[in-house]
Amino acid sequence: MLRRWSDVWNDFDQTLAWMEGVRRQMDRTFSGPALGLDLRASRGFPCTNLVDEGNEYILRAEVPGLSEKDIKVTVHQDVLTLSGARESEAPEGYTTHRRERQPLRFSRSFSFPSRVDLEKVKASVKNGVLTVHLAKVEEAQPRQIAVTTE
Amino acid sequence: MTTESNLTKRQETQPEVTRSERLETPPVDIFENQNEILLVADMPGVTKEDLQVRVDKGVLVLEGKKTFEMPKGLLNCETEPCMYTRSFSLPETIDGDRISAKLELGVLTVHLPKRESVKPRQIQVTGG
Repeated sequence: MLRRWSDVWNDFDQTLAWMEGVRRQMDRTFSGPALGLDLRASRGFPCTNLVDEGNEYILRAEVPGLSEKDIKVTVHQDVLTLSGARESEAPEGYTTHRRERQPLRFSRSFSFPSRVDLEKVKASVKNGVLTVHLAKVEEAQPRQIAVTTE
Repeated sequence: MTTESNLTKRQETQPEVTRSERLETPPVDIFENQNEILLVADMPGVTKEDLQVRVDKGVLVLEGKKTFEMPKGLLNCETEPCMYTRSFSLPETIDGDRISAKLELGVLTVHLPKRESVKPRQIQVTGG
């Protein structure tokens, strides 16, 4: 069977186009953006979700193995920083086969779309999940404006 | 217990179920000493009630369900409610009846004690 080179290239192009199509399909199926946002590329430790509740922000951070003593939460000029360390040593007398739990030391900072009241920051930890409530300053809170008829 | 026949004739014991929730693999550390193998898994947000640890035909299965509210106004989303799941085939040397597990601060620790017969033993030498 005689074929011209251009035919071969054509086939090749078609194969590539098909592969590209499959790749796109995969992307759509498996990493569909969560709720129209896909910021998981910026994923670090700890994994966090940030919610705007109107009058406050709620930050949910996953900090497995850390108790309230191990986590440091600092707020400085509207920037919230979570930092800490977790035990890095293997238990006494044990040899290590596998280590997947990372990292041993972390620090992560967050800034917010509007100003928060530094006096009213509350943080609590439960089941390895840290929840930080950050109340917005009065001016940044949503307000209902009464409409009057003339 | 991975005997040869098990490896070659692997039967599907459970029909595939379609789940609506995401499955996630928890990161795991594995340690060993003379008496046991120690398994440590990160499962933040999982409560004791939503956690299942079981041994089925020589396979240790960990399953933890993480649930939390996902409100609409999310500014940053890196985690979602999910099912943490992972399984390990246990070596013959593990005593399946004495396995114990503990969940603390979102970290699951499983102690897998070795059978008495495989532990190192000191033999008393007697003089003639």
